[in-house]
Amino acid sequence: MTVISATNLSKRYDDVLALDRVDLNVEAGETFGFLGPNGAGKSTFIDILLGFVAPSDGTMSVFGHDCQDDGVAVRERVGVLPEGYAPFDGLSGRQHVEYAIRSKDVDENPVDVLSRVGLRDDAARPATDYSKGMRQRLALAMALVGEPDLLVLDEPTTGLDPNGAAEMRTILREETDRGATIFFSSHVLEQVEAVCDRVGILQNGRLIATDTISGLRDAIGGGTKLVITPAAVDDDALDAVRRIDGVETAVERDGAIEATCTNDAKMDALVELHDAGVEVVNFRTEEASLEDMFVEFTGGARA
Amino acid sequence: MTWRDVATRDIRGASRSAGIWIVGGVQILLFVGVTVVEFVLNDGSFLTYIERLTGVVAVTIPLVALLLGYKSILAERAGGQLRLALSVPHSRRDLAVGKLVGRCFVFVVPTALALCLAGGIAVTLADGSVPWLWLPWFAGVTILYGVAFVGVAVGVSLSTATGRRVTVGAIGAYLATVVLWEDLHTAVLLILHRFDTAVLRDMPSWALFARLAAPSESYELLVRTGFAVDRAGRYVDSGVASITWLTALGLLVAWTLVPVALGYRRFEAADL
Repeated sequence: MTVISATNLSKRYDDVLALDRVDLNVEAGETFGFLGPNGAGKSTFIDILLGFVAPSDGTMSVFGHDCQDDGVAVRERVGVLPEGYAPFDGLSGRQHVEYAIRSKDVDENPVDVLSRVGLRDDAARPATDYSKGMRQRLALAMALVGEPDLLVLDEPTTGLDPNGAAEMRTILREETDRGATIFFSSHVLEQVEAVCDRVGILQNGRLIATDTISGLRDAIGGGTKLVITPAAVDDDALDAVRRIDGVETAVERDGAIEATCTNDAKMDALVELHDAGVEVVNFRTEEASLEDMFVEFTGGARA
Repeated sequence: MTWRDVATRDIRGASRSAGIWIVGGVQILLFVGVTVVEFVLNDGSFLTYIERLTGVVAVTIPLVALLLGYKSILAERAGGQLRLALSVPHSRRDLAVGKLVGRCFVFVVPTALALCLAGGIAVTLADGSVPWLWLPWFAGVTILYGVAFVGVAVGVSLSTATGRRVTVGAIGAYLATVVLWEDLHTAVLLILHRFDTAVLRDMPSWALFARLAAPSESYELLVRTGFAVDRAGRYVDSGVASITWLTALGLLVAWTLVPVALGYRRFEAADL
């Protein structure tokens, strides 16, 4: 069953094309990671999904309900952690969750939900006093109310420390096990890699790749990463590596050359460097990470 | 009934706002002050008291109502609370209705309290007849007059995301409806009648209606309906059948609802 269905979706703000003819389907039970640099259009996509913003062209539906015309029906089945939100004035954390429980018309204990996100001890405090990370947990708690069929999380780990991010991942896994579909956007690649079945890469409003992580790996020349530590890195050495057949990218990082390439090209790269008079101190190969693939797909733009 | 959740939340948030308590307190001081001045210093009657109070609240109540309402939507839109509010299954209409109801409540409760306090003091200070039956009427129409301006304020707040525009809109609404309506109306009428000032003493019925459309004029006519104050006299003996206290009541209700409806139309279509 298709949960999210976007067809030819475009959004233009004055002179900026925030989304450019995006087609995307997310199936039930999937954990889908929406990846892209800041300003790529991720939040615009989610804003259209939530009915905050009307598309300039194309349509998006969730569970068969049009996001534009039937937003309430959409949000009845969706738990949302929006971006750029602020807690309500004068309401405690507990009252925020009670608000979500009443609005979704379900019968849950707010303390249970707050315990799940680690806010039990702060439940009585005004949410406006919360830190960024606690606000993020609170919004997640509100999203989890009512066991939604779809969770939409816009940059969920913003403001969370590594522990908090790990707890967030645990909660997301529990939700998937329950059968929920998860759609989340992030520019933190490790997050996406750790939990997602499938990722979409968005750049300048265009969806430039949609695949599983292993599928993306296959798409870029076998997906091997070669890390070469020469005595000294210079542009000539990088160019020499880039010229080799089978090398997709070669970038310098921390005094090492990182090249994504096919297996066959690995030895060629070492030979080429030797011929160019570059002394190789060390080398190793790694499986290409999502970040490498991201660099590959977006042509060098850092997430 | 999700607008109730929005209204409850709005009232809860407002009850913690120092500004709202201050406005409520100032209103009590003002009403009580007018009462004491009228009965103790001026040795007035209940009628002159009502007349004096009407004159004061006609100017202050719109200020209070606009002040309480003009940021109701805007502040949450700019601050991000609106995104959280609309992440749960609420429609924008629920939000607009809930905010209107919430702000009306936040206006009505302290105003009613101030009126009751002032009224209680007036009853004890007044010697002679107290028009018991019409006191609730006076409180009711005064509150309705304020609610109309809450409607104007929420409508302005719904209409745009730009803070400066909302501020200008709220000040503009006050100037146009409270301060300048009479003068503008007179000016237009004089120009149309080639500066023949006789027209001001005997207005054509359309002009009389346009004059009454100002919330303060409607309010004064409603007060006049209950008390023989020296206000809104031109409507009482106008001989125009369509101008009655019911018309004034309808006009105040329209001032409450029409600006909200207009603002909502823009809010509904806006990108948040």
